[in-house]
Amino acid sequence: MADNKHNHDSIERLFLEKSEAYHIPFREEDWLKLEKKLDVRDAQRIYRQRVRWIAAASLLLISLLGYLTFENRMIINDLRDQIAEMSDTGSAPQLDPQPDPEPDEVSPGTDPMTDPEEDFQPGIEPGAGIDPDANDIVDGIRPDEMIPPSLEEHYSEIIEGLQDPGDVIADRAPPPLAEEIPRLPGGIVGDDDHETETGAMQITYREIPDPADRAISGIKRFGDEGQDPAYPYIRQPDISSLVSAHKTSEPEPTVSLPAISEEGLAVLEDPRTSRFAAGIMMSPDFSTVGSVSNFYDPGYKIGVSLEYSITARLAISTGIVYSNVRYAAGGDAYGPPPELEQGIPFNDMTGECRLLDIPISLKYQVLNFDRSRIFATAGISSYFMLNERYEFRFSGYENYPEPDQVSYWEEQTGTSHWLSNAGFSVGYERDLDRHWSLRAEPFVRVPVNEVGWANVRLFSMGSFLSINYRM
Amino acid sequence: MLTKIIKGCQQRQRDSQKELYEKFYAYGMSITLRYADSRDQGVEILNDSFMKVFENIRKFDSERPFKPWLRRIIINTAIDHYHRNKKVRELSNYEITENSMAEDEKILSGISYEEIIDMMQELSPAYRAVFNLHVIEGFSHEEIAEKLGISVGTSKSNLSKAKKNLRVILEKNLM
Repeated sequence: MADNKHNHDSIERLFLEKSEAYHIPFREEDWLKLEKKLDVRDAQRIYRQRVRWIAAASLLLISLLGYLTFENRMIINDLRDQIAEMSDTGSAPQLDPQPDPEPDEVSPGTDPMTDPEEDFQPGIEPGAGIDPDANDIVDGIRPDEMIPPSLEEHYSEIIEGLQDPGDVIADRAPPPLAEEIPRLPGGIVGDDDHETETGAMQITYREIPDPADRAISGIKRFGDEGQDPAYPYIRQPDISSLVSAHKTSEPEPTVSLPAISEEGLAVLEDPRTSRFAAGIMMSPDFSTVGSVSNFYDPGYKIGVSLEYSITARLAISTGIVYSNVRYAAGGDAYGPPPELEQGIPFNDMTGECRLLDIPISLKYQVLNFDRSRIFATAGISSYFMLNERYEFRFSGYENYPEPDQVSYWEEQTGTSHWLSNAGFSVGYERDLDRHWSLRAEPFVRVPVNEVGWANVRLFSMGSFLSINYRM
Repeated sequence: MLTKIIKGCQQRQRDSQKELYEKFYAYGMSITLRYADSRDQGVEILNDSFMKVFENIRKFDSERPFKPWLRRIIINTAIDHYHRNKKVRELSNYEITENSMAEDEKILSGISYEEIIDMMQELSPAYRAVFNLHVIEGFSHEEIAEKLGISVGTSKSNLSKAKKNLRVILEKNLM
C-alpha cells in the first residue's frame, strides 16, 4: 500500500478525517450470518477429512489382509516342504498340511502340472515315489509324448487288465487289492501299500479325488482310516513309477499312462484359458503434491485396460486412463516457470489438471480362491498433460499482493512426462461367469519425476472399480 | 489478549472467532461502508473478508500487527465485489452537475461520520472505489489502475469526477 503523502485539498481532508471518526455498534445478526457460512465450510471440511480417512483406512485394511493371507500361504508352503523332506528321509509325516481355505482354481493359460502347489492332492505324499526323470513329464511334456509308441500299443492291454482302474473308493475299508487290482499283463501286481512289484518293475498307485466331487479337493486326506473318508477317490497308477518301471524293466514294459493329466489339459482347452483380458475401470482420485497430507477436492479416473497372462499367477497389463486431478500446494512444493513468479512467492495454490495416464504394470495373484482371487500390482505410469489450470494466492509479504489476491493460469499444455510415477495396488477380483469379472483395486501412485507445467511431485491414491472380460 | 484470540481462531474455536469478529466489527464496517452501496452490502463484504481471515489465519504471523493485515483483506474483498458488480452498473446515472461549493470549514466540521458515508454511497461505484483507494487508502493511480483493471488516465479522471460530485452532494446537503 502506498504512503498517503500526496497533497489533499479541502474535500479530501474532510473525508479523510471523517472516515476515521466512526462509531458503529456491533450487530449480533451480522455475526449470525457469518456463523452460518462458517458452519457450512466446517461441514465441508469435516466431510473431506472423513473421505480421506476412510480411503486411507480401506487401503490399509486391504493391504493388511493381503499381507496376512500371503503370510499364511508362505506358512502352508513351508509345512509342505517339511513334509516333503520328511518323506524323502523315510520318516512318516507328523503334520497334516493345512489345506487352502478354498481349493485353488487353475488359472487360465497355464499348465496346472507346472505348479507344485496345485499339483498337491490329498492322499499323495509330496515327492513320494517320484522318479527324478518323471519330473520331466511334470514339467510340461504331455505324457503321451513321453511314452514311446511301443508303450502306447500296450496301454489298452493294461487298462483292460485292470479290473476297474476308475473305481471309486468310497468305502471305509476298501476291498482286498487282489480283487480290486488283478495281476496285470507282464506280471504287474497291486498291493496294499499302493505299490505293485514284479521283478525289476515297480508301479506305485495313488488315489486322487474324484473330479466329480470338488468338495473333497484340499479338505481330506486319503488313508485316514480312523477318520471319515467317505469321499470318493479314483485309484490310478503313479506316473513316475510307471516311467521308472518303463526305464528299469527289461524288456520294455508294456505299460502306458492313464489319463492323470486330462483334467489339467481340459483346463487348457477351456475358453477361459485365453491369456488376454480387457477391462473398463473408474476411480475417485485423491491427489496431493509435496506430501501425502494436504489433499484437496477429489478428482476422478476413468479408462480401459488390457492384460496378458504370462503364467497362472503373473500378468502384464497396460491401459489408458483419463484423469481429472485436483490438488492444493504450498509455495514451497510448487515450481512454475520463473516468468510467472516475477519475484513474488506464492502463499498457496490449487490446480486442476486433465491428463492421460498410461500405466504398465506387473500383476501377481497372491491368492486364488474358487471364484475369486487377491492380487498385487506394481508398475510405472507415464503422464500426458491435456489441460492445466492453476489458481494462485499470495499473502504475508509487504509490497506483495494481498492474502486474498488471486491470479489464474490455464493452458492446454500437451506435455509428456514419461515414466513419471510408480504405481502400486492390491486388489480383489471376483468372477461373474467364465468371461466376466469384477475388480476392486485400491492404488497409490508415487512420484518418480516432476510433472506438469508446475513441476510438481504428484501423489495420487484411489480405488479402481472395474469390469473385465477374459477373451 | 489478541494473541490468545488469534490462537483460538487458528484452532477453529468458534468462541474465539466471534470474539475477533466483535472486536474488529466497527473497524471493518468503517472500511466496507465506504465501498458499499448500502449497509447490507457493507456487511456482506465484511463477512466475506472474515471468511478469508479465518481460512488463512493459520498462516498469519502473530508477530506482525493484525489490523493492517485485516485492512488489506477487507480492501481486496471490496475490490472483488466491485469487479463482480461491474457489469450491472449504470455509470451515467451517477453524473452530477458541478456547482460551486461553499467550503465553510465550520459547517463541514459539523458533518457526522454517517452523513459522510451516506454521501459516499451516492457516488458511482467506479468513482467511489477510486476516491477511497486514493484519498483514504493512499494508493497511487498506477496501483489503482492495476487493482481495478483500468488505465491510469481513467483513474485520475474518476477521482476528479468523484470529488466534483461530492462537492455537489455536500452543497445539496448543507443547503
